[in-house]
Amino acid sequence: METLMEYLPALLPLILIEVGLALFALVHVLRHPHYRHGSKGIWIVVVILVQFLGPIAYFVFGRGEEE
Amino acid sequence: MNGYCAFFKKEMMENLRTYKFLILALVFLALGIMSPLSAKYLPDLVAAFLPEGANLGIGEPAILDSWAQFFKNVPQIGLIVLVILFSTILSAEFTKGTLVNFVTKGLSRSDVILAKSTAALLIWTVCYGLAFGASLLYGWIFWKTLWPPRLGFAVFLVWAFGALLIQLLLLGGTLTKGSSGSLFVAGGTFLAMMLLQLLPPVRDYLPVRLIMDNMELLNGNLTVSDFLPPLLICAVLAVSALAAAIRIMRRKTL
Repeated sequence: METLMEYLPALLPLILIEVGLALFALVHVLRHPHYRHGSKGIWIVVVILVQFLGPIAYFVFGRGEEE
Repeated sequence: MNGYCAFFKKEMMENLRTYKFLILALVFLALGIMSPLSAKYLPDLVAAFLPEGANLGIGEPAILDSWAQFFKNVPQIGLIVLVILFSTILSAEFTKGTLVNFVTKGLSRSDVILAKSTAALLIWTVCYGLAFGASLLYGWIFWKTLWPPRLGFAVFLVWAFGALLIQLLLLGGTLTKGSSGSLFVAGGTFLAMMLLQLLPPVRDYLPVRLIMDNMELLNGNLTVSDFLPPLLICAVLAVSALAAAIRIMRRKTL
């Protein structure tokens, strides 16, 4: 725990970007229920669990066209 | 010129609304932060996982280790994300038929390609600049060195290669209706260069050196003039890819 606190200031921006991206993608998944590939359940899991690549994959392959 | 400006605005708007700009910016920012961090803390990490007393001979991290990470991460992860995100740069328009309206209203087809090229270049420049800025800042915080010699040129080389990839994506996009052409041309050119660089005499002239030998430049093993031939070839390739894309686009049925 102590070592974690020691590194936290340096890691904080990276964590913020990661969490921000995941939350942003999660909100988008929930509010736009049309997907090009996959389904809501799959994208929720992918976006939360896969760091960085999950949200990117969602916006590239999963995001459907606005109706 | 009017059509070009209007289509450029539309391109930027589209990249903002589809979150491509945002995602690319965040990815590159993360890469820029990650590189100095991993250089700084790698020895600590290794030490934590190795048994007591084991020594791998990793020295105290220095500013050049940070840039070594930068020139590994940005081409490997950053350029791949760039290519994937922009692989639909033309195919999205073809499959949805959104270009038909513009072109029948008098927008010239070369303006379409030129505006798309400028917009993608602008986004690439901004995102790469973010990564560079973050790396610069952290390098200064950790090592109190802002600018190792020849850093600017080494960083510019990667930018030039990214710019070439964007033109190749455009050229590939004009060849097929889907995004396969873009991926095939950009990926194929990259693979071909990776294979050719195994031949020593050819290697000196290949643009792929621009993302492979950056550390040699920073270390002082190579000089700026060593990179001028591949840089020139990179520029020629980029311009001819763009010209070819415009040519094919003029004759393409939308």
